[in-house]
Amino acid sequence: MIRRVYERRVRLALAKPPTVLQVEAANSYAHIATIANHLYITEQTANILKRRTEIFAAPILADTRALKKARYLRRWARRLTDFAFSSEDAIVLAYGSFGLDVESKTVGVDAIITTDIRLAEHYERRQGMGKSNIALTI
Amino acid sequence: MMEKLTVDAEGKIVIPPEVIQKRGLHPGDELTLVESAEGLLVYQGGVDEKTLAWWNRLDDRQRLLAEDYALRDENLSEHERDASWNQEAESIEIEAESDELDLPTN
Repeated sequence: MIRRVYERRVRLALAKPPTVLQVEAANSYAHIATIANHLYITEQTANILKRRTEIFAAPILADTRALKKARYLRRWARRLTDFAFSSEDAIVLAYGSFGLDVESKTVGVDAIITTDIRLAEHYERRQGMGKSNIALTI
Repeated sequence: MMEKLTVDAEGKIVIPPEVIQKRGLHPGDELTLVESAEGLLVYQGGVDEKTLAWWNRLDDRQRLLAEDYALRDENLSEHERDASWNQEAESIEIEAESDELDLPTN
């Protein structure tokens, strides 16, 4: 999602039309920013953004807070792989439950936003796997 | 929203009046036909508020700089771009748990 938001800005700088995924991501990001108290990204995404071109990445980093990994995050991610989530998807979902906002000392989020339709559908099918009541929205 | 458009014998397509009205289109307005991985798209333009706010904050020099960086980014192969966004994949293995922080106790 954040990648597509970044790429949307790259396309604008080039005066090129964006892709559908970029438009959907940028529109969602703009909408969520108006309704959410805080926007979070994973540590991995934050680290990647820090290494990318500042003019595109810095405003996204400024808009968001990077969640830290709280105790049990990886244990929960491993549990999620038992439900046929890939390790990459599992860790994102686990951030939703065990991602720590150090500033507010809160754990977990209300919703995870993704452009990955397959992940969202699989998550919907697996509702009831316990613990997680996070909305996963495309 | 999805609308089906039909190409006529001359290669023209007609946009339904309700879409014209909803999108505020006028005769002479330009639309871009985009061939993308998702298919052939008709693109009106327009930018979401967040992206537009970012763009409007840039001065002329910064916009030129952004264009320069954007050109470099666009010249990367899809593989290189994917790789740069998938760096430092986080391990879920038990051995990696040492960096996890204690849950706050309120």
